[in-house]
Amino acid sequence: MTPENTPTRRTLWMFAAIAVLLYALIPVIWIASLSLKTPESIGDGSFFPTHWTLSNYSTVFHTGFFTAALRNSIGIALIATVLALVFASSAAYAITRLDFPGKTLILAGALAVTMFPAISIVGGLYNVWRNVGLFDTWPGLFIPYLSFSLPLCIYILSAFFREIPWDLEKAAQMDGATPLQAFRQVILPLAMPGVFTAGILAFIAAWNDFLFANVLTTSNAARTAPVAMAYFTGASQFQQPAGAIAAGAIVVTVPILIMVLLFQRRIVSGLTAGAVKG
Amino acid sequence: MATVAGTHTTVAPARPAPPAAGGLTGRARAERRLGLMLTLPSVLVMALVAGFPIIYAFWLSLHRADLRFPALDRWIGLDNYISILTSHTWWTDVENTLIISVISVLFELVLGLLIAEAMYRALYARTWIRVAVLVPYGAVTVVSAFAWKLAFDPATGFVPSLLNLSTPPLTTRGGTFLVIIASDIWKTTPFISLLMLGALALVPEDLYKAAKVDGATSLQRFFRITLPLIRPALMVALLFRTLDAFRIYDAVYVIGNGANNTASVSLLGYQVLINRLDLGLGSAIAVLIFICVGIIAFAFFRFLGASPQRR
Amino acid sequence: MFDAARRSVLRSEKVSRAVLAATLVLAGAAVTACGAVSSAAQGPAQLVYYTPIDSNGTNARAAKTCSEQSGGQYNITLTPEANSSDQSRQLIVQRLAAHYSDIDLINMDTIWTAEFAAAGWLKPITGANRREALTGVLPIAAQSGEYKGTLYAIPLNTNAQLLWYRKDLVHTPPSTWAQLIADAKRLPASDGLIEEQGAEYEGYVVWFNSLLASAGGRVLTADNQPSLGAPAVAAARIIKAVATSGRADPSLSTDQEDQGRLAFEAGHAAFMLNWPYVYAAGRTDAATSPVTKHVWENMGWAPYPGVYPGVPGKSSVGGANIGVSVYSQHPNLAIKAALCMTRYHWQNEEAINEGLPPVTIASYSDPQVVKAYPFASVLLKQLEHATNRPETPLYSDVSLAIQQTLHPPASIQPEQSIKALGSCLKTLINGGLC
Repeated sequence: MTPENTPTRRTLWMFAAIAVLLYALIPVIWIASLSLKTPESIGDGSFFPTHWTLSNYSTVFHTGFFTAALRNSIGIALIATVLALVFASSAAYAITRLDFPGKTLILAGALAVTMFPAISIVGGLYNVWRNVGLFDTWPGLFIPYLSFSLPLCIYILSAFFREIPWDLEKAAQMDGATPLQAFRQVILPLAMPGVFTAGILAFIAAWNDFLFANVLTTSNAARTAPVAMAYFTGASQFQQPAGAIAAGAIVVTVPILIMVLLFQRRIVSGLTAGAVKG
Repeated sequence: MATVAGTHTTVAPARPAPPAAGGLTGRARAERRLGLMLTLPSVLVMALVAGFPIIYAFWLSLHRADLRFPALDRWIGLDNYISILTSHTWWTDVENTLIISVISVLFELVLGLLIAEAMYRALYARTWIRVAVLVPYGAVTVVSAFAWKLAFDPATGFVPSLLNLSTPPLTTRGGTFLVIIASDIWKTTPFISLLMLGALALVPEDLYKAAKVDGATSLQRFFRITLPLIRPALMVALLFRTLDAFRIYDAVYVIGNGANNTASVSLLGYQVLINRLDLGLGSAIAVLIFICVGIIAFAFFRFLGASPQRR
Repeated sequence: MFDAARRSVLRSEKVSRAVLAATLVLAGAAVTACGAVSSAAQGPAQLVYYTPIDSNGTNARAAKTCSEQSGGQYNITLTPEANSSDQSRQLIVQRLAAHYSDIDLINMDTIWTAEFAAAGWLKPITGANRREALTGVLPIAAQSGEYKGTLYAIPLNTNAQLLWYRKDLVHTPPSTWAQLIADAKRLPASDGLIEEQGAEYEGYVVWFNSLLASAGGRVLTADNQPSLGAPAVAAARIIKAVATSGRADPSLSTDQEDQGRLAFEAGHAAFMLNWPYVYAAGRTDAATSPVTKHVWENMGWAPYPGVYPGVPGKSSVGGANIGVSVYSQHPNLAIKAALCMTRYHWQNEEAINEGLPPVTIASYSDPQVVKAYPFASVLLKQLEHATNRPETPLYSDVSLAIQQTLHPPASIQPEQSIKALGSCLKTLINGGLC
């Protein structure tokens, strides 16, 4: 037994683990519990529901506007991610493998673009989209999404691609493979984890957006789920539907949570790659 | 290789042809071309979706451009900027944004480092901690904001009765700030802790062992060894987080929508652009926010030594 | 040369043949296109009506019935608006500013008329249509749909706040705010609260504007200049007095209409300033508990309190009008549809089923309406002594300015706040930031 592994230390780390778990889970459990409360008991001030119902979920799924919003969110985030990956892969490949002037400038530029405030971009876009007919459309959203998904992917993919031993490609060719075979069977499998990770992180970033969607959409045509949550209608003109909002919140969060938990190793490596491997 | 007739030159070992006048071999030139071609689409896209709107915003900001009064559109130069910089609403919102940013980032840094240490050194349940840490990362910011808002709202929440509060937190400026900051801290600390985890992993274990042999306490080990060595990564994390915090919008919109004097600058920009449809004034606010972010980034690069390139 | 001539003739023949062929093709296309267009026009025009959906389905029924009665000319479909008036306005304004033709009819809050009309987004309603829209309609409602004398929105329903009180706790309802506060103070704090809308939103402006009008003042003059003065200071003083009286609801500064209603129904309040919808809501909620039953049985109503003794209070009018978008593809049919949906019959239906007060004066003596609204005569009187909120295209700015300079209610400094409001309004009118 190493000096570190005493029973007191073990219990201490156990407590630390529980504390972190509670920190992470309490707000999520709270929103879930709110989504299960009956409309009458919403105001009872208790953490767990005293009266259960699934009616909030049926409200959420039977109002066409939330299901449309989910569809929009999934579609737009997917397209933004795929486009970002396509552009970023070729850029990252060039940056890590080829020698040409302006490499550091492009990386620095990508970094700078991630720092642009969304509000500074969205005003001009609103006016242009409005005149060009892209207001409240899918392209009207996934194009601006590239302003953060593209630089993010360039950064992560550059970090991952830098770690790939490119000489393996040459070795495979010397062993008799054609360039295409070498690329497909040696390089691609090594690059896919990075691409996958960058894709997940870009998707989460696009799914998370609120400001762009709030300004550039107004109807079921392109409104995304986070914005739809803020526009739920209540029973009367004056009522706030907290239960339905909570149910919508769970529906919006759970798929991402499952994805995050399934791919947690990749996500951690992706986030730390950006910091460590630079 | 052409040799001048009649001169005797030592034959150098085989080398590729020297660069022609102009500087590059054919192969290097082809590589350069390919490199530029492969990066050109990305550069164009970024210029189009990020660069152009900012330039256009600057252009709009020099005009009176109100969608409700199209007949009044005209060039007014810097009048919008003067109006904003002499407006107490703008400065109050800058103050609000700084309050939220500074407090959030401070807490996130400390908490993030603690959680990172826990993840790094935990002998048990390391996976559980990592999973727990990723849950807030996967939650949408708006969801986090609603969760915290509905928890503190006396009509729906459990906190007011739990803590026996007489004044509902969301009716006061401080209370609203508290809920906004709590929502931001909960959501973003995991991101910080993951960045710190990567940096912690790079500190050589031998340094700690040597220090322990020398009798250093864990606190001394932290401040003398860990902190200086993770400083570059810490500065980068701090830079990104501060910029993000300054741009805060989602939580402020959902939790109170600027009530009780808690609007952030991004929310002000949104209100002027979209509620008032004053594109000129709103664009001027957007440009000013951009400049503020630039100043913060510059300060970090210059004075705090944050550099993503230096490792 | 002859060859050249022959060639040129052949060429010109070819050309003329080509021209003839082209003409035939174009003509044929035109005929088929005309045919297609006219056959499309034979189906009913689809009119999209952007409106909150009535919880008891009245406006859905109105849309369906009017579509049927149109004889195939049009078919109205309802699209729901957002949860709050502010959010709805933002959505509609974004679409109108983008010249979208997919909205034909808009259920407009009364405060949007000036803004939408000045921006050129609404089709004016003139001549016989205007006469039909305004016959028998309350003057204040007609005014809410007009801008600079032209009618831009057809009155649909109206609304005015009344003073609701507990008959078992208060014997004669107060007629001025000072009296209201004094009466509340005489009751214990546990059930003598005053419920008002004090959150930083449009409802707060309703309160301020009502007080201002009751004191004889107005926010802006006819040519959009601030005119606040002494009545505004008096109004600000009253808001502060309520907030610091010890009888304001503790959550006054975040209370909207519904929080106040729920607090009143739970027996915490003796007074409530609110829209008439609370009466039907109270009747429904009376069945849930003995407390709400007791409150309901003792629910009384009175005119909106005044500022000066002997001068009746004026309350700010709410309500909705139906506007026709200028980008609609069937504006004239849309006007017809709106006129149908605002007819006397539907006025009474909306009043009885949805709690939305009618704009037609005759409805207030209709026996069915009076059965649902025992307070109909008090409401009618209030509507005849009502005021609109400032009818200016800059209304959203004015509203924001009032919300920002006069909130939270307990920290108002009457003279300073009104002065700040005045200079803020001047800045806003010139397109600046306060």
